Amino acid sequence: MAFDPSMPESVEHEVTRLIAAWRGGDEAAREQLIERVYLNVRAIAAQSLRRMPNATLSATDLAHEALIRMLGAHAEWENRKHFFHVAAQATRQVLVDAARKRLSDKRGGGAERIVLDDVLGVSSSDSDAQFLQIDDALRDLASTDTRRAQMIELVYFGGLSRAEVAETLAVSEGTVDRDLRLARAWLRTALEA
Amino acid sequence: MTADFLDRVAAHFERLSQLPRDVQSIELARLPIEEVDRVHLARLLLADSRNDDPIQEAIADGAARLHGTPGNRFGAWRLLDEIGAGGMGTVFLAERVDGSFEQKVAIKLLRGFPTKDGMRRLRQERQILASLDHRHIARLLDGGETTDGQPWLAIEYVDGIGLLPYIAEHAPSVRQRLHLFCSMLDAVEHAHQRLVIHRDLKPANVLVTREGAIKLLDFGIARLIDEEDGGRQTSTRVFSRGYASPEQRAGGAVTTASDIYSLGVLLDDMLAERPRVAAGGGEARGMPGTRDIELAGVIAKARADRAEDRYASIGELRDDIGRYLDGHPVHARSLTRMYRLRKFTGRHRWGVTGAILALTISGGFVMQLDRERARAVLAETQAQHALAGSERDAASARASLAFLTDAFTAASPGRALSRHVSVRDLLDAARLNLDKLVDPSVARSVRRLLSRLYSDLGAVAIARELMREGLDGAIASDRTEALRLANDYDTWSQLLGSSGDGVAALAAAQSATALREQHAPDEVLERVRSLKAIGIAHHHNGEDEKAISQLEQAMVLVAAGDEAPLELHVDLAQVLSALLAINGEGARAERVADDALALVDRNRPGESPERILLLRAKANARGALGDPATAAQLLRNAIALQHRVVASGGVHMMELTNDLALMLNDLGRYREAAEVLRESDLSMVDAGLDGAVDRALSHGNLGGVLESAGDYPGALQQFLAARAILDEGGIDADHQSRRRILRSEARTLALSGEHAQARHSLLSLREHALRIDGEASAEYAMLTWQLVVVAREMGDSAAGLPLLAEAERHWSALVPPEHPIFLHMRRARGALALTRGDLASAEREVREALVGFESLGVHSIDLAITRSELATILLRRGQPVPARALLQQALPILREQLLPTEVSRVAAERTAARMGGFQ
Repeated sequence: MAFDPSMPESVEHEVTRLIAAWRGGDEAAREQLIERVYLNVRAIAAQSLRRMPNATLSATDLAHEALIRMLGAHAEWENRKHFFHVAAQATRQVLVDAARKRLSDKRGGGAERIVLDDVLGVSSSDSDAQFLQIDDALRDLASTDTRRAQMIELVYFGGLSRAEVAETLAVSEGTVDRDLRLARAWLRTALEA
Repeated sequence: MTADFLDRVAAHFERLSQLPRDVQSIELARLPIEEVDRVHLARLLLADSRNDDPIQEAIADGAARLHGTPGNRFGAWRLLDEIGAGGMGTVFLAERVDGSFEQKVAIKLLRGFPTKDGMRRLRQERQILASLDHRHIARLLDGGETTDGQPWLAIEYVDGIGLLPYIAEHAPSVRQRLHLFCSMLDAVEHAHQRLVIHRDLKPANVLVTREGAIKLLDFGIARLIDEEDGGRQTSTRVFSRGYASPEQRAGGAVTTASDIYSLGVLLDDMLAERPRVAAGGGEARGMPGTRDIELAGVIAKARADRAEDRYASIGELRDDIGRYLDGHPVHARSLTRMYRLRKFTGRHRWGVTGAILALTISGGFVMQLDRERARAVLAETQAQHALAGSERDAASARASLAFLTDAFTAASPGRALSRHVSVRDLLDAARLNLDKLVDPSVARSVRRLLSRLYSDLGAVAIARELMREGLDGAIASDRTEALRLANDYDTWSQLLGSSGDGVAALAAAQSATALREQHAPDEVLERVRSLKAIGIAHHHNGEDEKAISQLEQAMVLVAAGDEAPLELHVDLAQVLSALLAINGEGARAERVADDALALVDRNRPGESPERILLLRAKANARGALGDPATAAQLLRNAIALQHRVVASGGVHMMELTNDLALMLNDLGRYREAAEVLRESDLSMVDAGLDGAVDRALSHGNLGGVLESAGDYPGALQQFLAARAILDEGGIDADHQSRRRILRSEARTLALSGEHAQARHSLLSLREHALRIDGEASAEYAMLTWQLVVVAREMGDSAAGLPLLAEAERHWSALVPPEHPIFLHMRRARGALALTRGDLASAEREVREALVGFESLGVHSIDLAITRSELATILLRRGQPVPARALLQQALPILREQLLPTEVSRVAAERTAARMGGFQ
């Protein structure tokens, strides 16, 4: 197993293999894939900090970067489609874990950082809490309305276009538009509740 | 509920959301839906009317703040400042968080992220790198992973300037530059001796302190971020063009020769009047015309394109520099020419040797590696030693290596790079070609080398023969050779000892001691080695008391000085502890293990692999103290540690699980034991083990457990398999493993009714033991006891009683009177009395045995068996009530632990049936 995420060849091969196994019904392969993507997304985030301290990377950038690193820029659509399912989920998980950690650092030994945040005028704990609320709401939605929850995940965390979402979930683009609009509104109400 | 609700209102939502606000609320009020849904729908429409996207914002915020998370703490260190970034990652200056003492370190954050497997290897490598302790090497002090899994290293911070700027600024003389270079050579040699290759020697990795001392940075770190799965070590990305050897640039195997190449380029740079900026390929640098022709020769030889044309070792290179400094002609040029005249150097490549080296470089010491790599490490270590030992006679060393390389290549042309190339095949090929060696001293040295390797594979007979030939007529011409020869005598001694010739073993150990005393009379470490060898020889000679005394002296010496490597200390402690344990000195054995554990804790805090061996020693001590339960727990701890810091499979895992199985067997937990043994087999397969002794022992142990549980056909099958493996592996009749397996097989035959065959086999084994171990040996006593068991099974009181008396006599001399074997003997005596119809004696003996087992309290299975035996006797004596009570206690345990076919259970079930009322 390569120790360097930027080493594409064998990684691509391995990722393609895992996707194939998953498509063949192997749930363990999916788990493995998620773990790898999760690590990759995290590493990408960590590296981008060190490379360009002031640049920001969106969740969508993260997922796309992971795709390019792990599957190559010219992967076939079937594989990309499956990969995005996983990448969106992994990106979401990375962000959730980070937000949780920041919040718990504030409660426990992370006194230093609170001061720092205050000086910068950023009340990060609010938006972390907000983010976790979204995650909760999304999980609620997913428990009863998988399709709409997946749509949100693919769009917000995976950065897929409506056409891609339509193809991924095998629905029409019109359905995507309608469902998204509704789910988005629902999420907002859930946040305000 | 959400889906239902959203599906219910979806159509309304779509229609209403297109309408202007005022129309929307009218339409909403008109909808024929429930009030709850209407309220929700109203809120949905309100939410939809906003233009902002809080979801997008929160996510973007979260992603943006992901950058802010890494924090500035790394374990016990706090980052102060970024001091550089390079191909390997970013470097920070850091200090201790707790300020407990003032120490600045460089924290290196390695790029990339490891998989679980990669992380485990990284920890292993860190252990090895941490063992590099040299005044010219910046020490690796600490390491770990950040919370998000990024690996980091804390390295001694060197406040100095780069090598080339230093030279440019101070303009040292050529001699001064050469002395600086020699410091670098010392450091690299130190690492090579521990099988660590730098892999990225270049000016940026050499600093000069304010005091003018050299410090090499980043030893082996290139490998940490460059490693591909498992064994193959090829150069891939991390190296610096210009300093990288041709084989590195070509992606080939990286060896010590690659470092020598880089050192050649570095020397070239150092000698150039104005250091040039590294750029372009290595070929572009020319040799300045004004350069001293001899130094030019040294550089040319160090950076020869082909690895085999370079200096064979750092020592050789330093010798040439030394000769130049002393004003003697250097060897480089004449050697180069001479090699061209030799036929074999033109033909052979370093193929296999290089490949083995490539497999093994990561290994600091064998213990940390799985078996396949361990063997390869061993092979390479021996080869390296052969080289180091005869630096003065490089031609002979080269001839040995050339011979082995050719033989190995011929043996496995296509498999040289495979992880699973069988070392045995390679050795056999080399052995069959021995007569091609013309030079008798080379032939002797190769024989000794092969002997050591065969010995490791458990092929004792072949190893013994080779060592005998290899030592015959061997003379040491200087100190280095004498000490190497002494080590070979140690091996010879162990070979003789393990094949039963204790007297000769002792003589060989004494030869080793004499050599050391003559050539290195004042060296404590050599003295320790002598004591250890003589101690082990005493053990083989059946004089464990003397053995223990020698080893204790060695321990005292080691403990008094601080120069003994921790590995030697640990090794001594575990041998001593094991010896004490088998001599019934459980308490002392445990103390030795505990002391060594404390020492390891002080020197290598945390989860150090040295702990594993010592936990095992402690477990065996607890076992000897009659506490298999604690022993089993310690072994489980050792297994967990092995799993975390070394590997989940491999030979050590196999040994540990094997020990655990034996302890569980002692506890009467046979089914668990059989399960653990099967795990042990998995570890063996994982390690790619093909050593006959290991495989045979594994089958033998499983056979033993199956026998205890009562699966006699299954057990016999295992013993048969074990024997076949020993036959195939050429393990001779004298080898302990074969004798142990034959002994177990005979016992099982007796239990499964093949009495005559069992007796015959045991008698012949006993004769054998009498010949090579003597009558006073444990082996002889054990075999006598097994003969008692056969007589008991046959109901042959006439043969049984004298044997029993004999067994009792032998065992009394070997173990303390409270040993459980004597209780088993009472059971046997009772059983023999029963066959004679002497019910009173039978009851008396078995009752005594029962009292004994009750006071031991741990062996529930023995207790249950004895109870059932007493029940049988009492029933026959017409006392069904106490008999029933005993059987009620015993039967559930027997039924749980033993198969229906096990002899004691069969007897108990028979009694139960006779009594009736048991289900």
